[in-house]
Amino acid sequence: MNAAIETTGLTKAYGRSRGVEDVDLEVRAGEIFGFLGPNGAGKTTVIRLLLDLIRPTRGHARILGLDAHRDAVAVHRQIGYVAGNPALYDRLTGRRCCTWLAGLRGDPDPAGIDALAERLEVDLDRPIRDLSSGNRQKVALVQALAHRPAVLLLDEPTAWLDPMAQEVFAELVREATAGGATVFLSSHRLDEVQHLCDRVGIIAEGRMVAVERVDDLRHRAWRSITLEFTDAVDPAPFAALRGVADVTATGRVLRLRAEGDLDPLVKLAAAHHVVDLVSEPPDLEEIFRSYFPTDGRNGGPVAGPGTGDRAD
Amino acid sequence: MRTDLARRALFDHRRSLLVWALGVSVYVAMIVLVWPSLRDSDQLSSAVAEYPETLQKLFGGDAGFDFATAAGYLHAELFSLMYPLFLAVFAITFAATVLPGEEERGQLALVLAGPVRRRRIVGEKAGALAAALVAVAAVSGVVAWGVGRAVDLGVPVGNLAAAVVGSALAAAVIGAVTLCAGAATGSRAAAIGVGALVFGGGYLLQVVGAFVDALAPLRWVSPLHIANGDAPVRTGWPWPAYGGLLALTIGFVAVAAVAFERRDLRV
Repeated sequence: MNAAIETTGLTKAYGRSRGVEDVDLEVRAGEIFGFLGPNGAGKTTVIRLLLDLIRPTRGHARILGLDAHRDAVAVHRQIGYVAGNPALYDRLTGRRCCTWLAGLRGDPDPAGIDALAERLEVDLDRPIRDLSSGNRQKVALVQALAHRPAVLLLDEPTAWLDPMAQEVFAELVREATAGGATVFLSSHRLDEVQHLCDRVGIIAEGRMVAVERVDDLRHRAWRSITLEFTDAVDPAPFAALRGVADVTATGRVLRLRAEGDLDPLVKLAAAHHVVDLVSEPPDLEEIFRSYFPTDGRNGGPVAGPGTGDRAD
Repeated sequence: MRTDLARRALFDHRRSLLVWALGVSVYVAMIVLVWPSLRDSDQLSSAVAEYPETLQKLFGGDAGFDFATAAGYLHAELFSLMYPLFLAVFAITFAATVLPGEEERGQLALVLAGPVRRRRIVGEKAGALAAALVAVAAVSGVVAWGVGRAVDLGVPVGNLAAAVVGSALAAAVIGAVTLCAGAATGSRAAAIGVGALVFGGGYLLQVVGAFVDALAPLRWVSPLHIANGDAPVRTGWPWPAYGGLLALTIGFVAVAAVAFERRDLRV
């Protein structure tokens, strides 16, 4: 079996509205799996279930072939975890906190700490309470990565990181998988997931709505594009393009929505004198809606492996 | 045995531990220092002798109120309420901070994401609580003994130790109850509330039991009464009672471990 993380019917009921229901996931060993969903969709709940911090109402989870609850201690030896808003022992310096947590793992002086801190540019000699949110998150990343875990469970690990640090983070994650690690990365940012992940699971309102390859996800990523020309142009050829919709022309300005590859659109626009071009990133909410055929404008059948039975 | 978590808890609270040890010691020293002036004035003991019997029982236990001897004075002024109260409040705040407090701050999630069993967390936090109580009791006990020697108190060191240990054991039970409530609920406020309720309620029942004979058995609900009902500073070590308090403490810690094992972490 080469599933690093496997859940079957994983359900956590919290009264009527919150929680997650029947989450089936299979994360393959060595992949970077994106776990995408709006805030409150249940991403953190799933990660906390995987960590045995909370217990499922039904279903179960296996990590590296071991039961997430029964074998929790053995599983956790091989896990690195970063929480969304990481709580650390904030009276300690970053270094003391990292070495203390490493000591709980039986290795009080993992070699990687300084190298990681240097790459993430975080000062480990300051008390954590004096650090900014971004730097705290970096300390949390250092402690999670320092012991070279086989599985990384990362709950919105870049929420507070600046773009440079996000780039370093991406490198670190790729290096971890190159070394054989599996990464489970939750995010509510489509661009981050597209940038890093091999496959993406999408969760909304506590249910898995799709598991897709990142390339396939792109086709659901409608972006709003505004083109301004020197003169009014005929919208008809634009509307005829594949993957272009909702074309409206007001004077010299053309507004439309496009999905997938933008090349035909750009080539067509280049026949005119383009004054300005604004492409807004795909609206994640819209992508999520596209997985709910009943209320989405772009509603299509739910696609992707392992989700066919949840198209209702 | 691994002690990373216990040492972390003690180290993180070293300042509050120091302040408590010093504060309790200062109070104890003042109480002992007042004794010589009382000893030399017979007005007070004769006034006290005219107190109603229930009041005498309240402050002096079953043996009655006794300001004629240093031991009777220490029992009434220190060990029947204030000293165990200090230790219990310390135990309640310590227990509530190191378990549910750390959970509320999200720190226990970080620890539990590592290879650490929940019962180990409860066990080490209970160990830290025990060590902290021993430290505060030992420092203040030694101060009581030292100042007592200086003012010629005349209470046998064994009896003084018995009273200090009894109060520490009563506080340990209260601390274990607090740990239990914290382990079961994950709420610092609930843990403090339950700890305070058991101490305060126990004390109240002890008082009521002293006034109303029919309710006298209720006094045994109070760890304070189990520890100090026989005024150990006057009568010496009540071994069965202390054994009972120790057993209660261990029992509550065990229940705390089971409760924590079973529940969802809150944060």
